[in-house]
Amino acid sequence: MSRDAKAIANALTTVLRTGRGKLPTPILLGGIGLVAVYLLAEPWLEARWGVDLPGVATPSVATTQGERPAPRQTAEPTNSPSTAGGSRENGARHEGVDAFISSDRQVYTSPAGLRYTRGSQHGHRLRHLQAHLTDQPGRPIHGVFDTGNLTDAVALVDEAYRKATAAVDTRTRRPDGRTVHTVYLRRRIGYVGGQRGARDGLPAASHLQLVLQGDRLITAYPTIP
Amino acid sequence: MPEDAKRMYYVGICRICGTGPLGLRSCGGCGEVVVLCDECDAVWTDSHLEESPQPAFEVALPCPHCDACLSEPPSHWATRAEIDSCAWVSQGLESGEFELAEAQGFTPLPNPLQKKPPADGPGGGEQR
Repeated sequence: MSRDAKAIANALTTVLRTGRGKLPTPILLGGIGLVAVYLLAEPWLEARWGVDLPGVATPSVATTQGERPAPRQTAEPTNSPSTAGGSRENGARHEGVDAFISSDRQVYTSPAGLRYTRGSQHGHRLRHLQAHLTDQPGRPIHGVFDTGNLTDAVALVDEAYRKATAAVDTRTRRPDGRTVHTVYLRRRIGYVGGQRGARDGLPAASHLQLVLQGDRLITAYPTIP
Repeated sequence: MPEDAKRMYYVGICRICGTGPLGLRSCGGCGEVVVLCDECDAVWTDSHLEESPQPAFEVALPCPHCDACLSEPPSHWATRAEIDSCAWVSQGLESGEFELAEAQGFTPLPNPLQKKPPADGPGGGEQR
């Protein structure tokens, strides 16, 4: 019996023991049935809504329309080893953002395997990500990371990407050749700014939205689904 | 070099990313006005936003009409005069297909990808 099923069984047993002799049998059985339905649906509801509901189960897969998530990316050492910063993942050394910035290379590959290439109005996707480190009140909607540090933002994006490829706490859409993951990171990571955010009091955001094309990052920012 | 933040007229919010404003972009090559999402770079040639956008390219953001780069000058957010002289935009506004709103595009930031100058003198440049 899986851990979640055991937890659900224990919860139902507790309800039964608590209510036996105190409640009429039909009411007791009805209550147990409702609790069972809720506990069984809880993981799906949490993943669907991206919230943490009280219960005994842990969130799992959440993909729209039964789509399978993209396979986990295998990290490839596209960048030569750096002399400053970096980390190891899957046996490959990945240079840190600071080292990349000081280099002549044009494609940055994060430890989780996301590629940041040239492009966007900012000239490079890393620079586009950097634009989400501060509020831009003139934009209609603008997700802002709490961290003002680009390296930390890249690490957050990697965390979200790993969750998305593992189909954990993630809702995925695939519109017109792109992939959009909305990942619940289970803690505040930023807020919604821009014009709408200012109107709503700069609400906190616990989700990170990734827009990808394959393993290439188009954009990423905190969001409220 | 990215252009300075300027007034951007937009016609809605992008259905691809769900948050980007659909700005009206004037191509620096041919002068055509296209729809460009300010967040995810999705491009449409006219008001038929329910259709698939232009396929996303690895690096470049080519104009669907002439292949000139839409993300760099002389391409720019369309001015009101350019919008008013664009047939498909005028028709869309008159028919109520979409409404015109005003906002700012991304504000340019110091380039984090610029190489640090060497210790013996000035140097480096924007990593483009």
